[in-house]
Amino acid sequence: MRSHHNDRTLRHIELVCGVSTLPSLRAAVDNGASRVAFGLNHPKAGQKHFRALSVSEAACGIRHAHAQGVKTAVTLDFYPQESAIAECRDVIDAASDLGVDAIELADVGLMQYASSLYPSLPLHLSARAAAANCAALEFYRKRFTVRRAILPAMFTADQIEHLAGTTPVDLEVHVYGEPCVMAEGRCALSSYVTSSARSTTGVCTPASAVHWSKTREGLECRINDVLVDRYGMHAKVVPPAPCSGCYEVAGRTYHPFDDAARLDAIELLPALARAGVAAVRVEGRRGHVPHLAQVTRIWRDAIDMCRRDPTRYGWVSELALVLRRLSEGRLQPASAAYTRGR
Amino acid sequence: MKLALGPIEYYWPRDTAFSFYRAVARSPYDIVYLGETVCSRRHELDFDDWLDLALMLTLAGKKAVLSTLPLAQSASELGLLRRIAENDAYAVEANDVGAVHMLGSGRPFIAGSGLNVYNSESLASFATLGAARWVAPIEISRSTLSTLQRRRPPHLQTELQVYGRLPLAHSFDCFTARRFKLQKDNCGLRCIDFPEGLPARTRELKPFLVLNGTQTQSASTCNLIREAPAMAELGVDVLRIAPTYAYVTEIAECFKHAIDHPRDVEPAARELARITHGPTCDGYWHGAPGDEHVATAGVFAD
Repeated sequence: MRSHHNDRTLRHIELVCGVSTLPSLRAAVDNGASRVAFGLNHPKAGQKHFRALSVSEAACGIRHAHAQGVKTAVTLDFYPQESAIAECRDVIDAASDLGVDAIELADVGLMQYASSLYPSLPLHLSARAAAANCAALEFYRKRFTVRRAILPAMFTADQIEHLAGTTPVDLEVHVYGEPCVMAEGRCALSSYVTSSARSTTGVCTPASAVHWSKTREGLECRINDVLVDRYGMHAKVVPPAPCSGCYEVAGRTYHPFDDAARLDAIELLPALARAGVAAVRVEGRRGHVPHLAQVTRIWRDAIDMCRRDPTRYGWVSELALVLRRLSEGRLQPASAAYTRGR
Repeated sequence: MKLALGPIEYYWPRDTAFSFYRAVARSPYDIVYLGETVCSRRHELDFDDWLDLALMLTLAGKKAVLSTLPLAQSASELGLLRRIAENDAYAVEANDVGAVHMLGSGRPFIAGSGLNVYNSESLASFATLGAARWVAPIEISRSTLSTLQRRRPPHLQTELQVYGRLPLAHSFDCFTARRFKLQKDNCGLRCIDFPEGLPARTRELKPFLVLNGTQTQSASTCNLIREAPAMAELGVDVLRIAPTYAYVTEIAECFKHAIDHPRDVEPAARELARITHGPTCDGYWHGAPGDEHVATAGVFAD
């Protein structure tokens, strides 16, 4: 098992940026990312998936990344239905041909394919596999030679430390972005209303299912027929999804699920480093991460400074303030997500 | 086809649970799933209680299965998972690959819907690992299941939920506690006050979801009784019913009738409709959003 380093010799922490376009990939690479992760369109896809790179864009992006010593990963982190299996295999083939440095998967069938055909292509376990314990990690490590697990953004710092001490699998932790309120890969709320779910199609609530209308009571947002929220004149509108809606529960009308906030754990970086985490992830694929270049730079500076001298990390609160301004006010304090009791 | 009663998903007092299972012992269910599958903080029944219930049901002629938590995280949750995996008296339903790992090779298990098997490749992988039966995800459509049934490994049985609220989502956060502005670690086990969960209605006061601690359910009851003949033709082996306290025996009797009389399902379907309260849905089976109600009385869908 991994031994914990003392404060003076913290292991090198990789900064992984999830990106969804070639310009954002370049922005992440040019501003200090150690690795960029992106979805890849099927080589023969007629229509580009809106949050993935085409094969030619990926080739360009990989060249740009490798030229600066930055690693890459292709993300295929949903559970394909039967009709999508062949396509997913083609994407894995294309990823290998492109020379990516790793592939991120959740589906066991796809892991079987990738590990048998491309045994030298490192396999990273997607957060959507929702591996929450060392036995689960051992399952994936033993059967598919998974080398790294991306943890869902629901662990406390203590839990991460405990897990890191019990598994030889490297851990990658979400530290910035918009986490799901439900366990990744364990949510059918959107498919209940729209037929689409991130687990199976990669998309939560498709824009085509969202309808806005102005009524006497306010601006109404529906997902198909379901009224998920009603906004008064100056209310801040959130991206519509069943989990971000406003509902009545036992006499109280409120948002039962959503924190309506982003995640930022920059103040916890020394604790995560001490816990032996291999990588931290800024997730820009799901939603828009405003100012990805600046966010990446801030995290790069934070990681470098933490590594040089974690005992003098106190200045990080200034960085945290900048991050909060950049996130347009939707930030949740670092400690809340990673230390609140669950 | 056999009838299975899924694990109790709500939090009931010990006496209520025992009285419930005494009724189940006299009912037509063939298979009964036992154990806590939502939250490890619930403690009205401990592991030994579940074993006692398993024995009681076995003596009554049922097959008892010990089910497991999805997403076990803490040391105590893992410890319980290990005890369940190492028991040699009863079959185990794995809802977490950690459980599959603990079961080891050579030990047949039931691949629960928590394992997210959506395609034939994953199905084949879990069959190789020892799955004797798999529980299809709630979202599975008739056409997808038909394809998977054609491609399933030999000797692997298929089970799916045909009645009851749908378990739509699982979280690490507790939404029942949050309703009362409590943290999960200090929740006071408030979910015991809601033996059928906490309804969440839209601002138009239409039923939408039900909060059940860390689990979120549909408010609509999935009801696929009219599809029982089609499922038999597809080679489905087990029909699962999600338990509610009321009518547990009557629901089983309706489905038993549908299984035994595939050309005359209507009387059972009408009786089931009579005892089902609130909205119903069957969208997923018909390839639609889950909350839709597609099939109508007397009309057999495609």
